Amino acid sequence: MPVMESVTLENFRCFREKQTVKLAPLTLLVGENSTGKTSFLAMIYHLARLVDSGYTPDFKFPHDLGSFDEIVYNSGGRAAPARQFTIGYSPRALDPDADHGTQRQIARSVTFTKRGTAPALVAHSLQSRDESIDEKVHPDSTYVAQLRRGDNRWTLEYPGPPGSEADLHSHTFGLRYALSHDAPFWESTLYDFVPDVDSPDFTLGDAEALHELHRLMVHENSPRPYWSAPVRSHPQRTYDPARSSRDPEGDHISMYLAEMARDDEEEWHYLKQRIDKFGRDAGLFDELRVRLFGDSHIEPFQIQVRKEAKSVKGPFRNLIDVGYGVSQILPLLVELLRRDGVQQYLLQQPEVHLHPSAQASLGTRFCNAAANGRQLIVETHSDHLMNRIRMDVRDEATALQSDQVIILFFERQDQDVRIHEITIDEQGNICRAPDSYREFFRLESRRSLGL
Amino acid sequence: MCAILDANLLGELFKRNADPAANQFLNWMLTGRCRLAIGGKLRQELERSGAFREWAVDAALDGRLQSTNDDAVELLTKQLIQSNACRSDDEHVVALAQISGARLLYSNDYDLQSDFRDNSLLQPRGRLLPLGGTRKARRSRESLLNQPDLCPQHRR
Repeated sequence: MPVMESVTLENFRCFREKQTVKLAPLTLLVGENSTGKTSFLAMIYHLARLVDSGYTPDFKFPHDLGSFDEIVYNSGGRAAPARQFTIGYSPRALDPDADHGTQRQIARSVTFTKRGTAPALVAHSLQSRDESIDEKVHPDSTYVAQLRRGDNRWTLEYPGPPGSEADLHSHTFGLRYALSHDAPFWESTLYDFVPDVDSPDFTLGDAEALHELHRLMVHENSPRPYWSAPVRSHPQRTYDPARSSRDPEGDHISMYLAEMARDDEEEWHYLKQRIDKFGRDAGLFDELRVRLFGDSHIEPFQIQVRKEAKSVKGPFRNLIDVGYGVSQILPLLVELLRRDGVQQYLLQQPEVHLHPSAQASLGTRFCNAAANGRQLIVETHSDHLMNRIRMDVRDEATALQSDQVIILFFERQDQDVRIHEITIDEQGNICRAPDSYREFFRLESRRSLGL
Repeated sequence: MCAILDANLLGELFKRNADPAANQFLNWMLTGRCRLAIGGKLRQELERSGAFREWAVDAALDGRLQSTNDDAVELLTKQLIQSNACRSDDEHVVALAQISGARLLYSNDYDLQSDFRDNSLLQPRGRLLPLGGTRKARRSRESLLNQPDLCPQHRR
């Protein structure tokens, strides 16, 4: 299952220094407000979408990061803003040529500079230990592509369109396009590369090795992300049929549930069983149902939940008539539970509107999802959620191991932000926390104890 | 730095106007980058104190508490009792030190202090936080509390 093992960022938003940060199946992003957690999450979203060679992030969706000037690091004062920013990632990649389970270290990065007001892609790099593919557009619009296999290097260089500030997409030479296809494309494009001094001519074997690196990185190891916004859609008393494509605010979930309830008995049974269990564990509800007004796909429907009392089952109530926490957690819960779910979840404060007990239950849900091959990167301010994850690891309540969880602590240091990696051991202890971690809570604790 | 707190000193630690040694240790617990090891019977003894419980909730979240498997500590405690290896009757504290790797003891129990310095019980042998209030003792204490290499968790 493709997951990101680490990400690298430099001059991106509030992160000036080049930092490479480890990610785990379950990664928690913590820290004070305005320390770049959401920017970090947005960066991961765009990196994951790089699967498409022609995809250039606009940095507007799902979280608007603004124009180039807002995205690039700028400390203010006399120092000039950085001229470009770079983001990249390394996936967990299995080496097809080695024994089963052998990891192959590969990395991908992209660099943007300013064109007009927008960020433009000017460099793209794929790296492994033995091969690399680099493309770059220089400020004078010259295009340079370099291929490396072992110690051998080949270069291709040609001028860009006259009088323009080109980016990678304005060059018609399709290196990445060629590499994503089979041999006929290599013949016509890759053999134009000129060997560096002491390097032999480019061969079919070289082309195959580079094609493999490209395939491994771009086509097999780009996770499909799902982004969940901190404020989800408002519940409605009655829903009219609408689109069911994924949406950060969860607008699609009501329709998805209706479709399952109406058309897919097996999936609906699977989903409902798990939704109801979470509802009970979290103390939110005991049973969920979709009330359909007719058999046709164009008929409206309602989503209802029931909370049982000691002696009676209680009536089903409309989603709009129960606590806001139910409707807010439902989209995220369904996305985590559905069998056709994505591989990577980028979640902004999933705990909003939830009672602490429900926040804790969500922690267990996250552990389960991460233990089952999904990657969750969660921006959170919830101690209850963190504590539950810590305890579930200690008590082996789920299959998630201690080395599959990482806490990234975002600390503002003057105008820069440092990201610290904090781990959890098998006893659920927090390890490698810097002195500044939760300093506010330590001072509050001291005051609370009257000392 | 990983330390072990003798439950007998809890009352002194959390009271107002505690002696300077207790104040310093508590200050370290509250604001320093300490790790206090707990587990087994000592966990139960410490958690009888409401103030300690309140501290422990936050400390567990921010990495100042090193929780050790209770069953493992209890098993080792039984073995120590059977072998009659300890001078003190605090085998559970020695067992916790052996399993957690904590080597700094805050206690005024002379027999337990002897056990901590006994090479046959703890390798490397433990160190003691001096309870005296002299300037030299305070300096020694500060030095011990700030030695990260005495804590196995910091080396991870």
